Amino acid sequence: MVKKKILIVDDEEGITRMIKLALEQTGHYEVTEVNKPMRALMTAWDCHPDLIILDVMMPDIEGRELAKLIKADRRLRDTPIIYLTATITREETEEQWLSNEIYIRKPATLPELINSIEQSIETAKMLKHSSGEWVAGSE
Amino acid sequence: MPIRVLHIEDNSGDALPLREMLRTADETGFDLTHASQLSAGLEKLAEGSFDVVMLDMSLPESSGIDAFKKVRETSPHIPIIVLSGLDGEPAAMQTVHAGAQDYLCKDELNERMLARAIRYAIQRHRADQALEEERSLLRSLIDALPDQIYVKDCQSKFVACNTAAANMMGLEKFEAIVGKSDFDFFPHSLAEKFCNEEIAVLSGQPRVNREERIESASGEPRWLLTTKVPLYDRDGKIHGLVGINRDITERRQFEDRLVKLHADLKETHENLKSAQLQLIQAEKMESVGRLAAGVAHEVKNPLAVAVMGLDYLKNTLGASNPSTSQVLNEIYDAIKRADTVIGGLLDFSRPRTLILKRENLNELVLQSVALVRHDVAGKRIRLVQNLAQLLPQVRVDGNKFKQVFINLFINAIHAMPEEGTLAVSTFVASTRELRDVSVALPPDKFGMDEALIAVLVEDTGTGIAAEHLNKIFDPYFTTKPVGEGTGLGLPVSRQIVEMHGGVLDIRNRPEGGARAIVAIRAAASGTKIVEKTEV
Repeated sequence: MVKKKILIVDDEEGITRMIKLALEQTGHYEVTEVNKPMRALMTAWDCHPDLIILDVMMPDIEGRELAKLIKADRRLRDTPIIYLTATITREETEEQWLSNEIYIRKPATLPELINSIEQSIETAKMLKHSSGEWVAGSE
Repeated sequence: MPIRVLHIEDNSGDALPLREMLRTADETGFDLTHASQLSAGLEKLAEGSFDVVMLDMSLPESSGIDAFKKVRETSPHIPIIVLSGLDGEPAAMQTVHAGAQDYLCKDELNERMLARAIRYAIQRHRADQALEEERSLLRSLIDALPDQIYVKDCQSKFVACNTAAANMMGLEKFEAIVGKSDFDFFPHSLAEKFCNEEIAVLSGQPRVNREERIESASGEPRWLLTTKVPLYDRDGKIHGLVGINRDITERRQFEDRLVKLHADLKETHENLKSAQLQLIQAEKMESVGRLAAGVAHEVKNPLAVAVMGLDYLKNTLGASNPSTSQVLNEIYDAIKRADTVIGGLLDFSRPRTLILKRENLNELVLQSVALVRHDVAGKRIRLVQNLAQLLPQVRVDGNKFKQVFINLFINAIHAMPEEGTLAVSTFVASTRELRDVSVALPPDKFGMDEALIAVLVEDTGTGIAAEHLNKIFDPYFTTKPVGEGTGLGLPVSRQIVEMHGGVLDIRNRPEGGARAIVAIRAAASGTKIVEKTEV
C-alpha cells in the first residue's frame, strides 16, 4: 500500500517531530516537516504532498495566509489543508463546515488527527472527480 | 449763668414781691422776665429761651388748667411751676397731674422756698426728660428686634408687645393687643395648649428655647423658638410673664433642605461606589482575559506535543506491560485535565458571539436539569421545579444560558455533599419586588418598576462563607479541591447574563443554603428575529 504523503508546517519543532513520529509509526504515512513557514511552498513542490497540515499562528506568515498562497499555486491548489490551532473553540469547529476547512484543536490525539486527515483526503478526491470548475471556483 | 425765669402774672402786686424775693435769695442767680398777660407770656416764651415758667392760675384771659395747657403746647419741654391762691389748690393739683413740676401757694412764699422750688423743678424736669428719652430708646430697640416680644398678666392676657409680635398676630398697632388673649389669635386647641404652658410659667417654671410649629394669622406654617419667663414684682411675687418668639422657619427649611441634600449626596456616593466596584471588576476581568489568552496559547503547544508523544509511546510500549499502559493512561488523563482548565480560560477570555433567539426559559431550565441528573445520582438530593406557566419569552443565546444554569445547578449540588433540596423556579417579577429581596439591580440599567423574567435556583447546602461572598465572581476564585473547579464558572456565567442585559445575583438564604437569581427583560413581543450579535 502506498504511503500518503503529509506535509506539516508548524514553527514549533516539537510538534512537527511528534506528529511525524506518531503518524509514521502507523505505517500509512510519510511525513515531511517544515518549521520555517516561508519554506513551505518550496518543500511542497518537491514532495507533492497528499495533504498539508498548517499551524494557524506562526511567525512571519499566518497559516491562513500560507493557505491562500497554496491555493493560488497551480501545482498545489487541489491539495487538501488541515489547520492546527491552539485557540479554537467549539463555535469555530461548527463554522468550519461552512468554509470547507478543517481545524484540529491542539492538543489532538492521534486518532482524531488521522480521522481528519483521511476525511479531508476523501473529500478532496470527491470534489476533484465531480467537478473541476467547482474546485477552481473555490480559489 | 443765671436761671432764666418767665413769670406770667396779671397782678403787679404779686409780681413785684416775687422779683424781690428772688433777688434776696440770690443776687445774680435768677434772670426774671415778667409778662402781665398770658398772650404776652406765650409770645415771650416763643421768642426767647427760658429755663422755667412760673404761671399764675388766676389769669383773667384763661382759667388755670387751660392756661397751663397753652403754655405746654407752646413749649412742651420747659418745666412749669404753678402759682395759686389759697382757694386755687384743687385746680393746681390738676395741673400737676397734667405735668406741672410743682405748685406753690402765693400766700406762703418766702425767698428760700421759692429759689429751691425753681431749682428742684428744673432738676426734676431734666430727670423726667432723660427717663422719657431712655424709655423711647428702649421702645425703639424692642420694636426693631425681629423677635416677637410680649408681656402677659397672670390671666394670660396681653399687656404689651413689640411690633414684630403685633405683625405676627396680624395687628397694625401694637396697642391693640392689650387685653386680648391667645384665643383671639390662634385655633382653640393651640391657644389652650399655650395657656396650659403659661400656667406652669406663672407658677415659676420658665420655658426656654423650645421649638414649635404654629400657623401664623395668614395661615402659613411657621416654626418658632419660644422662651417664656415669669415677671416678678418688687416683692418677688409673679405678676405676669414675658414671652419671646424667634421665627426660625427659614432655618428649619434650610435644615430640611440640607438633610435632603445630604441624603441625595449619600445616594449619589453609594451609586458612585458601586459603579466604581463594577469598573474595577470589569477591569479585573479584562486583564485576566488578556492574560488567559496568551497563557492558553503558550500552554496548548506543549500539551499537543505531549499528547502526540503519548500516542506514539502507547503504540510502541502500550501492549508490552500492563503497568506501562496504566502510566500512559494516567499521563493522558493529566494532560486532558490541564487542557480542560486551559479551555476554560480561553472560553472566558475570547470575545463571545451570541446567537440570539426567542426562547422560553422554562425549556432551557428543563434541558439544563436533564444534563445534571447524573451529578445528582447517588446523593439524596430532591429536585423541586416550580416553573411559571405562560412565561413570556426572552431573547437569548440558548446554549449560553444553559451553560449558566448548569453552572448554578452544579454549584448547588456541590454545596450539598450528602443530601438536600435543589429548587428551581421561574417567575415574572417587578424590579421593585426583586430589589425587596435584595437582588442588586443597578439603577442605571433597570427602572423603578419594570417587569423581568427571573430564574431562582435555591439549595439547602452549606451556603457561602461570609469572607467569600464578594469573591465568588472573581476569576479563578474557587473553594473546590484542586482539579475540580477552574474558578471561572461564576465569572463566565455572570458575563453571559450581563451580555444579555440581565443580572446574576447570588446570596445566602436566611434559612440556610444559597440562592441565585438570574433576571432578564422579556423579549419585545411580535417580532421574530434571529440574529447574531458580536459583543
